[in-house]
Amino acid sequence: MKKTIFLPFLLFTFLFTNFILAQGIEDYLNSYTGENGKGYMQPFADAFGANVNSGFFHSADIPLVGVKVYVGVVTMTAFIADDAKSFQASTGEFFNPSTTVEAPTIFGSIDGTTVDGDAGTTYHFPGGLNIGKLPIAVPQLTVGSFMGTDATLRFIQLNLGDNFGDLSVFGIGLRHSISQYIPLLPIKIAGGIYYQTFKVGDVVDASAFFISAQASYSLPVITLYGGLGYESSSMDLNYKFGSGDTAEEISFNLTAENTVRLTLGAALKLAFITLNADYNIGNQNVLVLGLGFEL
Amino acid sequence: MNKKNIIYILLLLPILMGCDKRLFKFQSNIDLAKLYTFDKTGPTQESATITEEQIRSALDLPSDAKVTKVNIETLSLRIKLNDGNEATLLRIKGFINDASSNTKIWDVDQISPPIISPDASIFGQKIGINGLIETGINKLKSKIEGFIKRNDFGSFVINVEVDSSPFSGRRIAMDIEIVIQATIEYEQCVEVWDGLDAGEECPN
Repeated sequence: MKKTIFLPFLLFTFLFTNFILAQGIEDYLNSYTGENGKGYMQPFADAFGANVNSGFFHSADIPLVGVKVYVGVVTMTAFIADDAKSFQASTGEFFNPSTTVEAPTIFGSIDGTTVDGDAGTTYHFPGGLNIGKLPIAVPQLTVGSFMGTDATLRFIQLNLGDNFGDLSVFGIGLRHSISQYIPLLPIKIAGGIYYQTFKVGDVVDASAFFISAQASYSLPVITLYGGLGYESSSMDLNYKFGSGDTAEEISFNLTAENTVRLTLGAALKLAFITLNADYNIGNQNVLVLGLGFEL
Repeated sequence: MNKKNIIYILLLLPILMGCDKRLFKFQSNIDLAKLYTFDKTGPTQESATITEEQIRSALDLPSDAKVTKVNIETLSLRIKLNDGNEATLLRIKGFINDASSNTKIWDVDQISPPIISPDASIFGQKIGINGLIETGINKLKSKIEGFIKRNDFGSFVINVEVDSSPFSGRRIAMDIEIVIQATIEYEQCVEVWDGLDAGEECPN
């Protein structure tokens, strides 16, 4: 099994996801079934969902007509709260005595939790990765404008080898200028809607939806922007539990607990280069940094 | 250096950061399943061998993994009735036998075979084995750990002894599958991107 985790940012790969992939997603999940599996992975679904629903915009200024193109890389970093590092886990079927304990989630301590049972038996909940933040990077293309509307595209297709299968990311969004209907408004306002899918082999199948109201105010070099958004995301996980003839197929769905978010940010435009940073406040906070070329 | 270049470098800094080896702790699960076929009147015993190769191939650990602990989590069984079976309750004992000793792992009584016709030819529900014996479990753990760490070699035998209960001597015609569920904890230093700040420092 390949153990080198680093895959270059410049290849626009999802760093964290590849970290998990390099170990083999199934190896991580193999110790968990049912509710324990959900508890172990729920923080990942929340952080990942919040990340992919970030970084779509750095201005609400959409010309009525004309060519406007942005090509860049957006990095999103979800900060993992302490309460997302552990969950209440229950010992499995046939283990005596049945016990519920606090165990690490995938972001928690690398040390697992051990429960001693009858007659020298031991139940061990595996540790996590000891991670305080979840960074991902994605390439992004925005093209406009037609009748005050632009479109945003995210796309990655990679074969990660026999162990992991194909990684495929596809995202699309549409924005429409609202301020074009309100003359003399000092700020720009737009509304956007975005949908993304994310698949890794047969193990992970995730999707995310984001709708937002966006506003921006431009000064000569800096644009201040913000937004209020509603988001949802879900992730299906499918893997084998155990080994040999007794292995079971496990599958469950995780729905991220993120709903409403507030975005506050600023973009710096230097000739064709746009550098932007924003902070997203919600159930899961996310820092976004973007670098792109804009015409 | 102008302002534009400074900003460019700052943004690329995370990209330019290197990799570092960090320590992670993993867990592998193995289910050792052995099938025993009984067809005899009165107390009867069958055996199955577990080899070091079987255990190692079930695990497929990375070559640089350092095994820290082996746990025996549960033992369970399931029963398939065959034609001619007369036993309605069973007493089932298990022993681990290697070159040096024969140690009892469990002794359970009043086990009820599944209420399924032999014609159905399917296994009943899994039943947890509750009457485990600590010396046997420790012996099992030690053998598996020895095989994985390569300081014990060869094989061991799990003997299963069955009789009808509470009255001995009825005909037992059935297949019994015994499943030993074990977990193996191991550490490994893995190369990760510095910016992830994951895991713990690797020992020198």
